[in-house]
Amino acid sequence: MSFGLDLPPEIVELFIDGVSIHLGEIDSLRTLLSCALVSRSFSFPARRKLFSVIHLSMNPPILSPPESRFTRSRDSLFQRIGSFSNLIDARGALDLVLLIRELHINVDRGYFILEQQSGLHKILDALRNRSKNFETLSMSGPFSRPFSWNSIPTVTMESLTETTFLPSLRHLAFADVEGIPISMVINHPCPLSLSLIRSRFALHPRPSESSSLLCLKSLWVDRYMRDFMDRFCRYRRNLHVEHFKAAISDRQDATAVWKFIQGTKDCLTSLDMYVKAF
Amino acid sequence: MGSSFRIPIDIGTLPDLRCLRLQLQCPKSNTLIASGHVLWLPNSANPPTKIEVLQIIVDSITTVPDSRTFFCNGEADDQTTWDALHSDALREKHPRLRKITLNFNLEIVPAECDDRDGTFSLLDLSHHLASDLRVLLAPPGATSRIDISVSLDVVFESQRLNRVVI
Repeated sequence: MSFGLDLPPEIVELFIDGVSIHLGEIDSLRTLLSCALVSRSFSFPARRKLFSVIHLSMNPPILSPPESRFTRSRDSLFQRIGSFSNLIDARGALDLVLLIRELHINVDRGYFILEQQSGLHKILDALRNRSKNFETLSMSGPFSRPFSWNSIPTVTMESLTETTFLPSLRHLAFADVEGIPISMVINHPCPLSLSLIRSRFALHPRPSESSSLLCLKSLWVDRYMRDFMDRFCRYRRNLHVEHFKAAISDRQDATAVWKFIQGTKDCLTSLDMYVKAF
Repeated sequence: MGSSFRIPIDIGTLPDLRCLRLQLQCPKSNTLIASGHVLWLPNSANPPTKIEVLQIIVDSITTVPDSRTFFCNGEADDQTTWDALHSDALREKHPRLRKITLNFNLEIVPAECDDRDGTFSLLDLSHHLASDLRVLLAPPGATSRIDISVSLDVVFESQRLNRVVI
């Protein structure tokens, strides 16, 4: 049956978009996998949707079937990352790396995903060497146990650091990460959106001050606003921030937020404040 | 006022600010609190701003699922703050303001409702609250032509699925 083969591309795009909007995470995944095999006109849009956002995590999706709602083992995680790495390295007619726009790394309590054996660095290296469309890198640590950037094994750390210098990268997000090197942000070649959720930059004993303009398209600081001022703004006074979002939970936070706003007030077009009123 | 600390921010000094979004997480209260230091911010602008869009999000918890009690028995400071959010008053401070959005998320402690005579309706409460909230921003006689949008999400504390969204 040839139904669907001759549909206009716009209709196919709408259908593929609708799949991910109206179906749950698991059903959406299954449907997109099927769509990728329907016909040539469905194959590319379905693959683009499947590979555009990649989550690497010990935990399966929240809406997984009950029988698979358990945390994966270290070996299982490594196997999945290895399979994915092989998949994007097996270059067929379509280089799948080019489809990846977002990579979300969810660090487990044992920090297994950061180990060299996990193969995470291979995925990052593929992105760094071949991707032209990679836009978002986010890392989140265990909620109750932030991980230190310095605890990342060297090979993984170098791959992560170099990936952040990709010119196409537009969004950099950290949640529950301690000691992020300030260089990851200040050396980025293009305007960035930076998100720091319960995360802090590393202390720099004697960082070099810079007078060049650092452009952050948007900045979100949730918790540790004072540390952000001390560890980042002290050395990067010349900031251009258009969208600023901050969480305020006490007087000191409020003062730090105001101090920051005053430093970038001429370019600020959007201000978003989350205040705990108790 | 509700907040125990001042927010020392004068948005009037931000020459290019177009969008202001305030999200307020309130403690449990039987009345509509405003946490004046936060919601007073739009009113304190000096000089007038270029703000075009104002969004206010309030997350509140109450044990009194009665619209009139919730609205009328608040502290004077809170009432003053809500008064200052009238669209006409805001237009004076923000001549370019064209849209106000209020998202009110109310969580009700269900134990207080169980004593009622069975006539309690989450839907009725939601409609009354939505109406009252809208009047807070655009009282009868308001002249400014600002697009005002009020949305309400009422939920029992322990029954998050029993949700009414208006």
